[in-house]
Amino acid sequence: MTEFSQALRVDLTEDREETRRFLVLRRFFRSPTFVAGFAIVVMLVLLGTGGVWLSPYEATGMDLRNRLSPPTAQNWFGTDNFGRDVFTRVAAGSQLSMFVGLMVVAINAVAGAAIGALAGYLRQLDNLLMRVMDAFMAFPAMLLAIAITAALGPSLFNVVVALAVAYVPKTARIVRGTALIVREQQYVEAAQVAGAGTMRILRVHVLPNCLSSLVVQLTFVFASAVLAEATLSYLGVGLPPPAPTWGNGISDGREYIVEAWWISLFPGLAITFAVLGFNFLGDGLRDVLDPHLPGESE
Amino acid sequence: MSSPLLSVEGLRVAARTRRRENLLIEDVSFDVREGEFLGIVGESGSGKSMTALSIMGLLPGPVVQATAGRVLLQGRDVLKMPDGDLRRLRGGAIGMIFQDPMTSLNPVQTIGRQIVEVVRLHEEISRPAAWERAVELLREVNIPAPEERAQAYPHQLSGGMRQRVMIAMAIACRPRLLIADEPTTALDVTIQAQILELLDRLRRERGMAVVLITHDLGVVSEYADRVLVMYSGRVVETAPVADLFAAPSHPYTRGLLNSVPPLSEEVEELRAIEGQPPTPGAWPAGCRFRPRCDESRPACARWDVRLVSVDPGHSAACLLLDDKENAHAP
Repeated sequence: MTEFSQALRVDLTEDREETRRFLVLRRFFRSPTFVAGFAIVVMLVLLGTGGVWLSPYEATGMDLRNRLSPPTAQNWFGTDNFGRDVFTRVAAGSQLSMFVGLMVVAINAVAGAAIGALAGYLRQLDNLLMRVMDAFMAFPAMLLAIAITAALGPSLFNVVVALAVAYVPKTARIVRGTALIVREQQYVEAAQVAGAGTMRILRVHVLPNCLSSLVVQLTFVFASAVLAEATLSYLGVGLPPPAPTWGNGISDGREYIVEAWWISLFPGLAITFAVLGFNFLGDGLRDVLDPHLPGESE
Repeated sequence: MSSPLLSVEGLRVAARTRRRENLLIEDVSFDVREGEFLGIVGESGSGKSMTALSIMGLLPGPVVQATAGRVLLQGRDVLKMPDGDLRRLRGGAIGMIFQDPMTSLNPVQTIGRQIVEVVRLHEEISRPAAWERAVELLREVNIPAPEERAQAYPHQLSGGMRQRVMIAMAIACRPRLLIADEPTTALDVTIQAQILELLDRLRRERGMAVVLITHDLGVVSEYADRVLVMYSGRVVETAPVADLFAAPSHPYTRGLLNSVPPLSEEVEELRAIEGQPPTPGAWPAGCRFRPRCDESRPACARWDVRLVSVDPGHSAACLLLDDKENAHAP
């Protein structure tokens, strides 16, 4: 009898664990904005990987006999003034944009979280760190990024650096705000009372509890970074021309906008969808993550 | 008698701003013996929690600091300890639990892991061994099915359960002293009794001293050996619990006792103490209870009152007592 109930109990808890995971997932997918954002992002990633692989053309391969062709069965999105396939360039641009976005987000996740958590938890550092961040924020992010790439020269690495510098202050400020709330929580005091040191409290208590607001912020950083990278390319301070960035695509089509609208339109749509997708994703995540998962108290 | 476990001597804590210094605690002295259950009673702002934080060396400096006095724990002054020693002390020789068990646990970690963390802060011990200890501790604080509960997150537990987990964390490294800062204020009455029973049982089984900070005299009367009554940052009366209830010597203590509803008889109206306790920094001269005291005289405003012994182990800070004892001419 006891053995039976023991077995039953173990079974029940395992079941519950699985149900819990399932419930968390379902919460994500019950949010329509999250689903929309998720779908768009998945499509962009598929476009970037699958599109380039499927296409018979090279992103920089010119075909001068087939210039400014409107969308056809061979060239889905048409061709540009050098006869390059716009679909292939948009797909390859998606890879570049995702790469830039990911790198900027990664740098933000590390630097922004570290600076924000330190400033929020250690009051002595707060003024110093945040005044430095304020100094960066005093410049419009775009202008700062243009200035940095202009100074460093246009390359993929420099674009990433410029955008990271432009967005880290904001991420740091948001993490700091959350850390300020977390540091007043009694479990931080309880950890002090239990003899934990500063670094340990930061690592075990402060950072993990700032994670949800950080994740939401990072999706917005991703969207902004994609948009900013396109802007830099368009202005001619991003990746230099043969590179198939979306910004370059729009810029290439500018002179032919009347005869050959497709050159600018498709990269433009790609940017719109990317920004929309990540913003939806962020909104959805915020809906799900912000009110802490309600307890299934027993 | 052997020397006390904890000895607070003339402790004075002040909040310093650029312009002025606000006293939060003044001239607080008391001892806690090994295995003793001491109750500290007082209203909000009377300095109870500040006293507790001083003992842990956790005053929110640099603004709030102990400006005088000593806090001797097993003969060493906590106020002068280097940071490393203080960290070993917290959670080691002294454990502490708080008022609100809802926010005292990290929401993103299982409770088992949190106990493991505390154990491993203080002892060289492997994770599996520390986990065993965590489960053992959860069993000791009467949590049913401790093996499973150790894997639960805080939000899956009720308030009473969480406070038990907090107690398990506080006693994880066998402290000699447990400070409980209003541990039952946020809990239902029935759970309150269970938690207090648990504290009392742990005290007896482990021979550890308990300092219970509360504003509930009923709780104190049931469990404490000795009581310290605080008012406006000062100790106004200290006595063994039976003496305090039988013969309260300070008008404030009498007022407090009068405002507790007796269980044995019907009372038309409880007699509350008139007025509000003064805020720190706006303390009246002389006896701080004077403005609210029924028995005050003009002289009360003139002298700072010291604790005067009434009986062995029982003293109070009231000029009326001083007069009786010394009968000195002004």
